[in-house]
Amino acid sequence: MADSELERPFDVIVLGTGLVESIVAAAAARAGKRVLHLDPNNYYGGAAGGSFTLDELGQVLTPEWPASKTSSSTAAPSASPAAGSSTTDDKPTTALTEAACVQTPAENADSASSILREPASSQPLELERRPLPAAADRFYPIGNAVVEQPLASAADIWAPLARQSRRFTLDVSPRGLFSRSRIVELLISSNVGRYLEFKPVDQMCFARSEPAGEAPQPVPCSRADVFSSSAFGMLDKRVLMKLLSFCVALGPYLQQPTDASQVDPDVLAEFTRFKDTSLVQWLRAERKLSPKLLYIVLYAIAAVDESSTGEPLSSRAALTVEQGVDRLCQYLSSLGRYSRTPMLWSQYGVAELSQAFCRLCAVFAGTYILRADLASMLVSSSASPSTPADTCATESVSSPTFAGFVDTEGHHMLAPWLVASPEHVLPASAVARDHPEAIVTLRAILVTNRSVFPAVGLKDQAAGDASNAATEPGAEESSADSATPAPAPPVNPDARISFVCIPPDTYGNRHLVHMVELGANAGAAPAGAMVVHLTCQAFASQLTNPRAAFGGIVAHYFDHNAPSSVRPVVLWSAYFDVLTNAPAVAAQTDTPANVILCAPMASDSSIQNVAEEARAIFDRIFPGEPFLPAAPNPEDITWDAPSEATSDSTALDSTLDAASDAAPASSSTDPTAAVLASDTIPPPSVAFGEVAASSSDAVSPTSLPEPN
Amino acid sequence: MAKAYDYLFKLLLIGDSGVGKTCVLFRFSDDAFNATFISTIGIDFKIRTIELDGKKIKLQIWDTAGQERFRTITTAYYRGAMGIMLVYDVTQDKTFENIKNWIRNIEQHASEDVEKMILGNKCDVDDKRVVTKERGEQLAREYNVRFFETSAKANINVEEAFLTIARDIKKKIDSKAPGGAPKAGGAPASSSTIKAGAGGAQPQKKSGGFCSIL
Repeated sequence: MADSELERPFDVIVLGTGLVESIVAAAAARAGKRVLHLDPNNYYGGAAGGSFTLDELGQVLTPEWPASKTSSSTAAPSASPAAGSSTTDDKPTTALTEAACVQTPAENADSASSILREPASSQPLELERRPLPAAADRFYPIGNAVVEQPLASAADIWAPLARQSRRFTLDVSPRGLFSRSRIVELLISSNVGRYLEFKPVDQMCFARSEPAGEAPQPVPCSRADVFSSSAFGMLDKRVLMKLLSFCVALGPYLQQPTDASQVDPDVLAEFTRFKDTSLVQWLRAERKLSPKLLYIVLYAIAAVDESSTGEPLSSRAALTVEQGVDRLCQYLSSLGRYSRTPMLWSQYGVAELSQAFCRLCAVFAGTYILRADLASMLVSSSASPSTPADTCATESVSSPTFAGFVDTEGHHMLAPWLVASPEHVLPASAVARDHPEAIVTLRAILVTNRSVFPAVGLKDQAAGDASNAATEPGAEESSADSATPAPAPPVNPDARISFVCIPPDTYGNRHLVHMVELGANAGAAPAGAMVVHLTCQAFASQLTNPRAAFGGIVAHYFDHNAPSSVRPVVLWSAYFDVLTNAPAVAAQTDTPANVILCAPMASDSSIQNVAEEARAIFDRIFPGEPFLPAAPNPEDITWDAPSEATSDSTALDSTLDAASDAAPASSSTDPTAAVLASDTIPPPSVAFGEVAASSSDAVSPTSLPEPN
Repeated sequence: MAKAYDYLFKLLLIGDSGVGKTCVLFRFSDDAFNATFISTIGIDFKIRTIELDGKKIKLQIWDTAGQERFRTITTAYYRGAMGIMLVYDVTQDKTFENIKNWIRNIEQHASEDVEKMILGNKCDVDDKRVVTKERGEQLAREYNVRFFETSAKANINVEEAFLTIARDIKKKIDSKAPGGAPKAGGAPASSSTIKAGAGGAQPQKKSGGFCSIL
């Protein structure tokens, strides 16, 4: 059954399960297209976007490429689509290594041709086989990895934690989601949010080098925060409120630049005049922000990776007013939607997002194969029926066209389009890591024994929150009031999810560093441990040692031994980098026109753009098709078998549940069509957080509400 | 808002392709049977509310969406599951043998105290049976889980199986929560959950607006 299913041509093959790839796959299946979604890995999300247990992470950071392949077909039957079941599946540690194995091209050609079969369809057979690069020769986004085991003094604490490897969820590219961002809107509008659980980030903070030894300070997140803050004088508060008002006034215009009628003319005039100039200069010279205020706005809110004197830290162009105001608006509009902070944290790791879209794709009949053992790409050099319609005739004669894949068992999988992660198709030589404009994300993952936030400080802050709400009832009559869950119960600092922005040059760090501390709320570590992520971006050519880049920060906040220390102790750490942007990726390969490579994605900001990127790809392949309309609520679909006796002969009847108001019952012979028909039903009213709560005691997940 | 139920349990169906997971699901949720389900298309989960000891229990039963075909079930599928029904086909020996693999899979990805149950489906097809009831019972004893032979087509034991796993889950939860209050701990229909739903909806008042600052 499985084989014949694969031989029918697909509408699109998606290779790699990164977030953009997964959204495209879901959208295509949702639109009724036949989707084959492959991943050579045995996990979802791709190496750069995956979430791993402690044991798995070590293998992802430093994959072992075996020198020679030993009989893959017998050792790893699961790797082939023909074998529906396997044993490797159950041992991730070995499977991971096996998944990394790929036959050398020569072997592939032999094994493939020996079992060569005609594809089921009438494809022309002048297809050329292009061997895919072997795993060891492929572009791999992760580099310079170092994993450090604890010193002897901490080994006693570490040993029991290390035994609970699977209780860790370690993200290669940890990312928070702004509550009001396109990706969150997409999760809501597509109903994919029902597969996910989010936790609000508990606190947004920033670090400063003076006074020494100070814990990270909370970023004022609301009007109440601003006015009650003792950190600012009256003048600062007025300047800040004016700036925020300016951004708020511009918000609708930035969303829809064609409609300027709603914007105050003065605001628009100032924006138009300065939008292409440097944000830092504008804030200092025009908006007259004091150094203290500038520090918070620039780093903690806009996350600008520049020095506050306006000196560029790199040859990258300075952030413009337009970009900066956009970031401020993003931050401000996200406040109060789900919590008093603007960010959401995906529980169980960021790879859950990919998996949620893959689930939707599968629900709409997408076919999934992990551990895909692909031997070669089928390329047609002449015009063929599989040539996409929009490729013009002259082009299709001269340029090669992707036609499909052949796996190591000789199965043909055909489709007129390929959407792929670069890491699965490009040889390492095609990606110029040393290109002057290549950007890497430097990373550190630390497992510590407790929070960098002192317990007592938090209680003060919680009390402060409560008193704000009490003393300013009138000022918060609108949503600010409801957005602040008052009074905040004292929270164990070891439970919190905290984002800390560490501006350039604070602790010897050249670039802006994002620190994310994940407590028990995030479910990222077993009890007694916390996970700390450090992230910053740099040009690959300028800064390549992640250990050194974070050295000052780690030395400031943590100890490496002496469990009795007042500071948290680093029990385990990993340093690595992820290639985030290599400008030459596409140019250096003769990628067929119907192959779309997704950008490698590792930067913190890029997750806000994935929805757009996926949509652009989808629109290119399936122009005019609706992009991820709301998936129907399963409760609204009922299947009426006409009668049990004749059940095998009659087609499926699908009717909309009468309970969902007087929607006319639609019946169809095609189950997919029936499902699609139920789109007319209003979005479901079930809060999917309900389901989720079972997995986490005592903490309440944030479920995404339905759009109004 | 009055809750229509006291408990909400998330249940999963797991097993090889073609063992009848979707048929079992539809027999229980809709009391319907149709042998022409192509594979699992468009079925995310089904819901049925049952009553046990005077408590309303909403069972949300998730299907694999066909991702079991190449063993590519997402780890996210297992999140929050409180009960898992492992299904094999008594006429296909391989599907029975694979139950062990599926259990290993569950042990890796599902929560440790998840309630498990083994179902030998298609027990009405006696002439093609290759897995005896005794072998099924033996396997269930090995893993210390309950066992039923079911037939979605002939409507044998499907209802019993779901009611039993629901009762076992409820027992587990009640024993964890002293006083038997369904609000506490692992019961998902707890007050903290309701708050989560409401909390999410609450700031929606000003959609697209800038809530907190001005």
